[in-house]
Amino acid sequence: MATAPIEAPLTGMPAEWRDFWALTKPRVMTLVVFTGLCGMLAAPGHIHPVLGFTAILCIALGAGAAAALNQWYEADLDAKMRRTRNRPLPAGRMERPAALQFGVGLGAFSVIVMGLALNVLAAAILAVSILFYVLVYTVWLKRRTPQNIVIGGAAGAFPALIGWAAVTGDVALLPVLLFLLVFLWTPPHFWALSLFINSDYSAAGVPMMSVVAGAKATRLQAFLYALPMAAVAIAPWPLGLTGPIYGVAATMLSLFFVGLAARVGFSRVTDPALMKAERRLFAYSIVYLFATFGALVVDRLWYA
Amino acid sequence: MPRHDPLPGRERPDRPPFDQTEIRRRQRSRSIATALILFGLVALFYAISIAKML
Repeated sequence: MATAPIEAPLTGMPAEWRDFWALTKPRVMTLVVFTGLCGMLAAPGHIHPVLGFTAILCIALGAGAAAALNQWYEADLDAKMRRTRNRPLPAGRMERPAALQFGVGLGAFSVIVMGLALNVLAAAILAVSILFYVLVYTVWLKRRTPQNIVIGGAAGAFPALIGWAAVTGDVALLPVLLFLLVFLWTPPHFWALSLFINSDYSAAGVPMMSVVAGAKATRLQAFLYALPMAAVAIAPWPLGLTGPIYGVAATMLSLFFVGLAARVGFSRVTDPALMKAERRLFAYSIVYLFATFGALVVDRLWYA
Repeated sequence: MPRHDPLPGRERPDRPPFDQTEIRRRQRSRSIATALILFGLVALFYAISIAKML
C-alpha cells in the first residue's frame, strides 16, 4: 500500500502533556469507562469503593494504552484522513518512540495494578483486550479486510466483562451477553459512520466495508447486524437475568435502533451531505449504548 | 515479511532550531503533570493497601 509523506515537520520539541492525553482518545475512553462501570455495578456482590475506583482506573488506562499504540502504528493512515490528521503524531507534535513507550508503559501498568489490587481474571481479560485491539485489530485486520470492524469490535466489548470479573472473580451469562451486545453494536455504529465519511477511508486506503463492497452492501449489513444486536440486548429479560425496568427500556431502545438501521439499510442516498439517516443512526447508536447500560444498572440496583 | 513503518522517513527531517524557552516551558509543564500523577499513585496505592486489609 502506498504511503504519502507527512508534511508537518517534527520540531524536536518535547511533546506537551496534553498531547499524551490526546493520545489516549479520551472520548472513546468515556464509553469504555461507562460500560466497565456498568459491568461492575450490575455484578452481584460488594466491592470496596477504592478497589472499584482502581478497577475503573485500570480499565481506562488500558483503553488509553490501546489507543496510544493504535495511533503509534496508524500514524500514516491518520495523516491521510481529515478526521484524524490533527492527532499528535501525524501533526508532528510528538515523536513516535514517545508514543510507543507511553502506550506500552500504560498498558503494562494497568494490567499489573489490576492483577495486584483486584484479581488475576480481571487483569487477564484486560491484557487480552489491549493485545486484541493492538495486534488483532490494528496490526492484522484493519488494513487487510472489510471485516476489520466486526472482529475488532470484540476489543471494545471487553470492559463490561472486566468490570464484572473485577467484582466477582468469575464470568457469568449476563456479562457475556453484554459483551455480545457491544460486539454486535459495533458494525452498525461504524458502518453508519463510514457511509458518510467514505471518501476519508477511501483516501487512506482502509478497506472499510463501504470502500470495498460499496454503500448498498454496507447499508444492508448494518441493518442485518442490528437484528441480532436487538435480540441480545433484550435477551437478559426473558432469561430472568434482569427485571422489567431493563427489559422494557432495552426493548424500546432496540426497536428504535432497528428502525433507524432499517432506514439506513434501504436508503438509496449517495451524496454524503444528504445522509441524514446515517448520521442519525451513528449519533443514536452512542446514546443507545449509554441508555441500555444505564437501564441495566438502574434495574439491577432497583431489584437488588 | 517487510516491517511496517508507520511514519516512513520521519526520523530524519530537517529540524528547525530549538526554541529554548518553549522547550523549558514544556519540560516544566510535563514535570508538574508527572509529579501530580506520581503523588496520585502514591495516594492510590496507600488507599488500596488499606482497602485490601479491611
